[in-house]
Amino acid sequence: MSPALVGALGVGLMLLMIFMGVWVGTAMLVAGFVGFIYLEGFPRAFTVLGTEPYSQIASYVLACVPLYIFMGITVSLTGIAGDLYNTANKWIGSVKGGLAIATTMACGAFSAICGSSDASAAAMGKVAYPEMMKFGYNQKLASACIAAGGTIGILIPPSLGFILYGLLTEQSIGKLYMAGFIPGILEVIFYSITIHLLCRIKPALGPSAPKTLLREKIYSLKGVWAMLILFLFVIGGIYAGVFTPTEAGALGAFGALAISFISRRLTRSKFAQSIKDTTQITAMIVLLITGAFIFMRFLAVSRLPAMLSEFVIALQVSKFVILICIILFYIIIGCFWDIYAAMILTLPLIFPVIQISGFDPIWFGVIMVRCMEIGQITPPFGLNVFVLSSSSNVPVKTIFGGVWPFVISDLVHLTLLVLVPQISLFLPNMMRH
Amino acid sequence: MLKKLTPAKISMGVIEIVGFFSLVAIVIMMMLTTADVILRYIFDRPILGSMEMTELLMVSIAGLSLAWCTLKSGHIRVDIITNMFSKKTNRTIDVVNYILTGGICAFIVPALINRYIEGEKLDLRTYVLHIPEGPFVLLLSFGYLLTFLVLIVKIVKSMSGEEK
Repeated sequence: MSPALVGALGVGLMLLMIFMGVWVGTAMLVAGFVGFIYLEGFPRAFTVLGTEPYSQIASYVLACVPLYIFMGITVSLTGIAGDLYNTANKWIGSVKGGLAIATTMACGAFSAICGSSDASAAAMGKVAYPEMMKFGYNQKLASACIAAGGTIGILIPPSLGFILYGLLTEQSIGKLYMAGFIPGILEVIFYSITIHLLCRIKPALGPSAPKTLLREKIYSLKGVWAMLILFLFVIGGIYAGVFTPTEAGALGAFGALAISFISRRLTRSKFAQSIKDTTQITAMIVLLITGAFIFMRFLAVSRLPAMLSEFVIALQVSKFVILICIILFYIIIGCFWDIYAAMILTLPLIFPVIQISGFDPIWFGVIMVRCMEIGQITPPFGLNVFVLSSSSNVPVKTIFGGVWPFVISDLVHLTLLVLVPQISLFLPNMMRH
Repeated sequence: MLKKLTPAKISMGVIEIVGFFSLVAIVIMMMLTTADVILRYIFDRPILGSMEMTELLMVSIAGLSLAWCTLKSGHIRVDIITNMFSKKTNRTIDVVNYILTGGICAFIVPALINRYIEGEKLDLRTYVLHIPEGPFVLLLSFGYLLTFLVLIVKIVKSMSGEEK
């Protein structure tokens, strides 16, 4: 059997285990280890099993994972989502569909601190949905804008998706963060335009909220300014090269803790909860990363990624055709798989193809994350829809019924990002480090 | 009245305690890195070797939390197909999952001990502070050993129908 065929069988074995419900990290570890034994013998495989779990985890870059998670969970437990919504509502609530637009903006701002899609959807579901219902908003629009707004979490930094992408492809996490910034803000604008257009066509969907005075608008900033400054400090520091993403994560987590304690929003039990959740998610990532690197070592020995790249070149089709196929692939798997699992499972095979096709790896990181964001709100398994349904008791069917205008907006946004790479690359190219 | 202590309960207690130390390690890592940045920019006196201490703390967090996460079944799985199966089938799948994970842990533990022995021969240390890597390799190995124990308990519980 040729090594590449063993590689392909290894991929098949891993996918079989995953679809049969085996933990993703375990499936990669087992398939990688067994494949390595077949190709290189037991002693070599045993050595790899002893070196990779330590060398990949003793990583300064990986250390930013628990720090950003800690920052995000701390902030989300302090009820800042409500303040962000209230502020956005005061500033923009009086236009047509204003409450839904305010929800989207609050989702964007919350994502900037929290970095998790499902956490954003769950938090906003509790805060914004009842308020929109109170003002007579259409249930489909109200729930769908929250589900869609939540997806911004993995595009606007800090994003766990970008950290994993950077780790697996050896790209700068700081540059990836910057690359996601403008597309993330554009996504908020696209959603806002979509909501406004829907409400212009059918005003009953989203009535305007009462107008507010400038004094009220300014007063509403009271609960959010500290966290927004913290975000600007963290991201600005990375952009200016003042600190590394790991240092920014530590400062962000420390700042979030300090602000929450000073404002008396963080009780001892919430603090304990945030740190427990952080530890659990970190351990989950550790198993995934360990499995991914052992599997990648096996694939490298099998030469499957190299052969796949050679095959793609031999096809002699335009690199944009390949890109479109990859984009469609990611949109589809985004509908079925968890984003982190999908990323870790596919990057070892897809990334070499992207590199050999001459696409910018930072730009592709944004495109990939954006594709999988779409999958988070589309049937049959859009994660955000299910999270929102459980946090707000809106039937899944109702939310899915309302997401289509947002999916169309997503596709237009994605097309723009693909056609104009500078939207993503402008900030990273301006960075000196 | 004292409740009856079984080996499984003792192991779970140990894992909860070990998990607590991983929480402490996260807080130390945050404080250390924050202090390093503040000292570097305000006092021009960075903490020597803070980067390698962070790396070693990361290993400690991994080693101390892995078993805990496994105990809480916090690892990612794709359940789009298994959701269609009956409870009984899912319980069987769980057992297979635990056996596979336990099996790979049973290889990782000696592999890491082997890495420790080889590292000791070469006297592997960090570059700046010359901290020996060996204890941290052993700590990670200990984490996988605890995970292995958790999985054995889970297998027994799944087979007896105790685990939901």
